[in-house]
Amino acid sequence: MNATRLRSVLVWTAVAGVGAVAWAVLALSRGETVSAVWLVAAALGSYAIAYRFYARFIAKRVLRVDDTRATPAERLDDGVDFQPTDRRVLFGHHFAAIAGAGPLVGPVLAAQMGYLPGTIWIIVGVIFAGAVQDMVTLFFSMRRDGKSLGQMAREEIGPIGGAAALIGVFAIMIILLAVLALVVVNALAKSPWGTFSIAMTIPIALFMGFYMRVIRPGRVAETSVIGVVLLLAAIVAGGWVQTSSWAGTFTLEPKTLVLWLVGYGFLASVLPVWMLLAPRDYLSTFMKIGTIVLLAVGVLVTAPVLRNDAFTDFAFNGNGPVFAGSLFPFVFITIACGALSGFHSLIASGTTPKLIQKESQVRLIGYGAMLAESFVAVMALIAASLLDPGIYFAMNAPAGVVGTTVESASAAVGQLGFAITPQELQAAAAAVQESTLVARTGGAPTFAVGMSEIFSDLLGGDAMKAFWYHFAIMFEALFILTTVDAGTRVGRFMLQDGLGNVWKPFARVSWRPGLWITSAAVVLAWGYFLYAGVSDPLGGINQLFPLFGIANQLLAAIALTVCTTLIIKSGRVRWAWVTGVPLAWDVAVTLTASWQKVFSSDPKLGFFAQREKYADALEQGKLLAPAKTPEQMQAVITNSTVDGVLAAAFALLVIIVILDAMRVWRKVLRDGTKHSTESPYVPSELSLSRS
Amino acid sequence: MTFRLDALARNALRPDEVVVVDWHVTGLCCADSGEFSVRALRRGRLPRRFRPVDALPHNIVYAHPTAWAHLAKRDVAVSCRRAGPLRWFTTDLPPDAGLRACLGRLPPLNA
Repeated sequence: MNATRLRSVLVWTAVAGVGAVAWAVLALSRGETVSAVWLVAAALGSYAIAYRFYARFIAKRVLRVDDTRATPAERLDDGVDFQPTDRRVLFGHHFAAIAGAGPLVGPVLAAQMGYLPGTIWIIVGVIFAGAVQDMVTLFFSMRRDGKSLGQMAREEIGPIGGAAALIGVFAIMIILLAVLALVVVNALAKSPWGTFSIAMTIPIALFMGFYMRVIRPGRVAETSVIGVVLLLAAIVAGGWVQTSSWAGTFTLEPKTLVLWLVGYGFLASVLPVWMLLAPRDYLSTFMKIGTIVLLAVGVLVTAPVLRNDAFTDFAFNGNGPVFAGSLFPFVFITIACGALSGFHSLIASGTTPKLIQKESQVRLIGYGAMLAESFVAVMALIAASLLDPGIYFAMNAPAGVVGTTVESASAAVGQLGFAITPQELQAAAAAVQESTLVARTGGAPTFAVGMSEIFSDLLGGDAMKAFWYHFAIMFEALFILTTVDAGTRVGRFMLQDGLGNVWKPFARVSWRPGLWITSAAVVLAWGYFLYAGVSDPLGGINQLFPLFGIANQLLAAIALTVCTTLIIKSGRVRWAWVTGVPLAWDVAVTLTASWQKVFSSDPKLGFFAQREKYADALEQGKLLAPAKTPEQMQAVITNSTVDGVLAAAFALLVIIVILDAMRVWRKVLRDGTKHSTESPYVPSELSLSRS
Repeated sequence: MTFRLDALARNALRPDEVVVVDWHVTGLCCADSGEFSVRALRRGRLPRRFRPVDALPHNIVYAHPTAWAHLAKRDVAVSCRRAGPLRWFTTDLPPDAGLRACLGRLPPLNA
């Protein structure tokens, strides 16, 4: 063994040792104090081993990446002006694209089952499923000149699979927008500080748009610095507004916020992109990367202690107040974006494959960026788990469970088996200058409180806690609003495109009435679910988040089915397990969750059982808690019916895509021939110039 | 990829200006999309990442790397509308061209 090899063995043995020790500490600790640093060490150690060995194995043996083969970026340019995108720059772009609000929200909600189930799923899930999906999708799209997931589904599986993929994306978009908007509403309701700060991001973004286009064209860095300074000023000004006579203007009820968000979504989808969406995104990207880096530094420097249990009883009895259902399948549904997210397959097959410089870089960009995203999810889980469980449940259980006062919340949390006094709840709210933290569901306020604990330990102490809390709220809301406006636009385009097949004028995207009608239809669709979530006595997050999780994992199932099909069709059948096993797991999770949400006889879990219970009671003239009026009873009945039908429809879509793909697999295996739809091989000038 | 400037666009450009084809990323949770825009920019203010692309007249159009990747092998006509001192550079790309490119819905190359 030569010296280099020996050094490599020693280094990787040490990395594996650190990871193993961290996992052992997490697994064996019961009741002892556990530092969040162990979570970070377990994650980083596992990621390093997975990237070095498993991702390399997939790249070399399964995908057989070939750096002598020109990528689309090189080939389509005719080699005239080819300037390859640096892999580090592309990694940054890809990471910024995949890291949305999802990895911040899901882990916070899943913390109701303890910190360990979420941690295990985030780390193991990303290694064997999420990062594999992203890398393999990126590779196959790159080999096909950057074809989208929908195109590959249509061409490789057939028109049925392709149509199911399109319907899936559209349906997911609507639910996603409603759930994320609900998170913003819950974070901003009755919070003049937060509402003012977020409202200010719109004029700031408009100013940046004009500044970059008219006043100082092309000065992106300068504009971004101005934007970040203005954002920080808006947060500080929010504190003044809260204590001024303007406080009433910015103290909004949830239903009023719904109307504002729907109006904003409509405007953003019809305004030119450069005016509002693009500058908001510059701001969002700076905030996103900067805050995540700062959070990682904060966790490592302050080494906070986890106050959550490794497992809570809710992991096994399924009676959690945040969302109903037991560990399997609901942890795997709730945490999507940090472990396995179908949405990533859209970007892995959209822009990145057209920019990649060499085939071997799919490992860094596809697999590596997803590991980084997973690390963000670990940070979110830490932020939620370092809170006192009493505060966590008082914040995340719906008002129907904990009431609206600190006294009722203290009593309800006590019944759940955790202790928190009304004074402690009042003090926690006062520390971040909010009127209350009770029933602030959705994950964003919890994450903000956790983040303010870490940041105030790092910078400024308790005096800065309120500033950091509102900084975190703005950071998340900014993230989410970029999703709301861009998602509405994508949904509007998909609807126009689809309706164009039925009535031709819709296909002409320059036809203004078509633009307005489809924009209105999309905002009304997600606005409906948002309104239903806000007014649902059982709590919108409790009702809608599982549906969002099922929908997202449905898209992952479609992406993994396309990948498995491509592996089989390209003659690599012996390696089909690489995507086939995560697909089987994902299907088991999605279908079990759908089955339980549709057919469970427990009204807390099954939508139709819930519907029946409330409908029977209403018929007998009774009111069931938490509903206080017949109208609220009717709202529960309507919402559970719609949600139940959607859960069944999502499950049906998964089954259709997989059955259609299995037909293709059977045919390929029976014929025993390769069916390559790859672009022809062209030697890479880059590799020639190096050899 | 060839950008052809018509007479209106050529006349609207000042001597020290070029046409830039920009790419505006728009966020979408765990995915992204974007949109193209064209505008005039003084040559001295060109960001380094913009690359010159094949154009008529030559050396007059620069593209953002992502815009370039989505428009590779396409011919694009550039024109300009004026209202007094204001200029709007336009292309013959369909509306939502960036979204179409991300979702694989741009018209085929030979269309």
